[in-house]
Amino acid sequence: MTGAGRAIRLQSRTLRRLLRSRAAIASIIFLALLIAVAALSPVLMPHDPARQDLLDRFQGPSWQHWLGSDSLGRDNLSRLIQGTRVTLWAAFEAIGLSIALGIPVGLLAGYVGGVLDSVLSRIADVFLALPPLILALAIVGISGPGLTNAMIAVGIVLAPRFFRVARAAAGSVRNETYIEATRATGCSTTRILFRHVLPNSSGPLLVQVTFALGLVVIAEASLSFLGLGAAPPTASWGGMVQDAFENIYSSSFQLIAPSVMITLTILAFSTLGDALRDALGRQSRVGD
Amino acid sequence: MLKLAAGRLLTMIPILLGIILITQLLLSLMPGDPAKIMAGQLATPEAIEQIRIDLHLNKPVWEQFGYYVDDLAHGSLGDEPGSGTPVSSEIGAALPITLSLAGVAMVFTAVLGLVAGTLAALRRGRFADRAVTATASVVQAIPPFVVGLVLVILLAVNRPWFPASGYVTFSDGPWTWFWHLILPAVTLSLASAAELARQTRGALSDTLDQDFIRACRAKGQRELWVVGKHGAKNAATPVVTVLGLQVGRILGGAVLVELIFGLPGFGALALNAVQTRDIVLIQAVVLISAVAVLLANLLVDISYTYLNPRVRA
Repeated sequence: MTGAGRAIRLQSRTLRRLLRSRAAIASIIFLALLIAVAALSPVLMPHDPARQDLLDRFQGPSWQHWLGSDSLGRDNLSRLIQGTRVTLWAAFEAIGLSIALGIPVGLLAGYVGGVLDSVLSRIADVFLALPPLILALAIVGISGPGLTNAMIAVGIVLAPRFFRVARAAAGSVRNETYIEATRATGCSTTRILFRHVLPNSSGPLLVQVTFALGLVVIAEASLSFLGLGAAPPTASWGGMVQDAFENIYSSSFQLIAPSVMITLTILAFSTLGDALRDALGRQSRVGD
Repeated sequence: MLKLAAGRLLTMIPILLGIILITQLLLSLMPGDPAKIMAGQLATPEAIEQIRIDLHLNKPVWEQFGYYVDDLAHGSLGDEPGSGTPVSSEIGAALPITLSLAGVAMVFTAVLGLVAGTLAALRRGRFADRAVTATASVVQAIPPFVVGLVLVILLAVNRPWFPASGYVTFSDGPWTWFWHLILPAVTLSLASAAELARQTRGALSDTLDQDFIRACRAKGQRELWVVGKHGAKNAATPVVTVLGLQVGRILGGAVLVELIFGLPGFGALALNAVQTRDIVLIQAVVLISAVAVLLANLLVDISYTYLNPRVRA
């Protein structure tokens, strides 16, 4: 049986086990709703999220503004909806980059071993010795502020995690007979890595991706809160919290909605990650 | 133990050199002209050229690396271009504030995390366990700046029981010092305490399931002694590991917390370095953070030899 075929059978069994957990279902529904809101955001926003109305600052909830208005009189609900899109897009950017950096290099290091592996592992160690937020800050400091730069920074910070999982997974199957057999049929290294080694490590990698998405949401919110992420007037959850912080003596109401959204999103990703790890059972242990 | 510490200190050197090299490489990729960015908008061409010479920006990357390591070997983290202030004095002024904050936060983390985790392990499956586990996973999902702002609004703005911002040195009065650090330290420690509680619960309940614990109970030892001595010591290794990992998290969190509570510490300095794109300061901040994390790892490793004699060999 090919590695890919095995992975598909495994996934359906894992999926059944995953759907037995009520917390996992709740997380999946919540995340699906977020994606729907992000996709439909132009239709859902009741107002232009950038339109200021300086006579209507710091409004409480009303029929006009369900979640009130911010320090420039902008509609909080519209900004929250736009922020959903910004956050999810940023999360996919950062995760995409760290997967693209970490997984191929990790698979290669684990599969080839030897000097290449030790050199690459040392480089990963160097990155892991730094506090994530400090490293992300340093990269943003070098490349300049802005959402894309911030997410490149977060992607680089998370890449060593994927490197580690991919490396351990590749290392554990490198001497298996089926790999030797594919090699004997003249399969190229790239093909072996992506067709036969990667599907066998998809479980632990999926767990890692889920947890990493939660970390990206925290990182994006933190960097936007520090004013280094999404540039105004684009709304982001972290930026909305920052606006609330700067006007803490005028109004504390507008802090609530973005904080709740950030927390629930992170909670959904970590709950899903836990459930996924449990559903995979021993499968997820590779690389831990 | 001394030999282990000395050996581990030596292995820190290549990692630190790697960090310096990687920062240098990243800096060489900086878009635009770093000298121009650092000099500011009103600088004359001569001033920009002077900065370029001072920071060796006209040299290739490996030579810049050599100069940096050479400076470091002479005890210098570099000077601010323009003013000429040594970066080490800026860091020296900021570090005590962050160390105070991190110290108090670590104490809060340890007390809160260990008490909650032990309670959950002892009442496994009961209400207390489920309450601790659920609270811990929710608390871990709340970003530190949200915790900080909620505390400021509730306990400093609405009810002015605590100062909303500022720092008072220890010599000005230990009590005011502590009073100003309570809210920021609680903010920093909540997520760490939640993680520690989960880890403590897991490690302690695994340990309490083992045969030697049953043997202790069968001998008629008092429960406090069974859990406090035999249970705690055998469950301590993963707990200490998690505690050590919090150093990096607290350093990163300090950036957010020091902004919210107006503390002029290391995190505020790091943020300032990034906002002004001061590359000398950025390099120093990265290096000092790495040293802190590596030293914490070293302490954790040393504690292993005390907690678990098997790793001593």
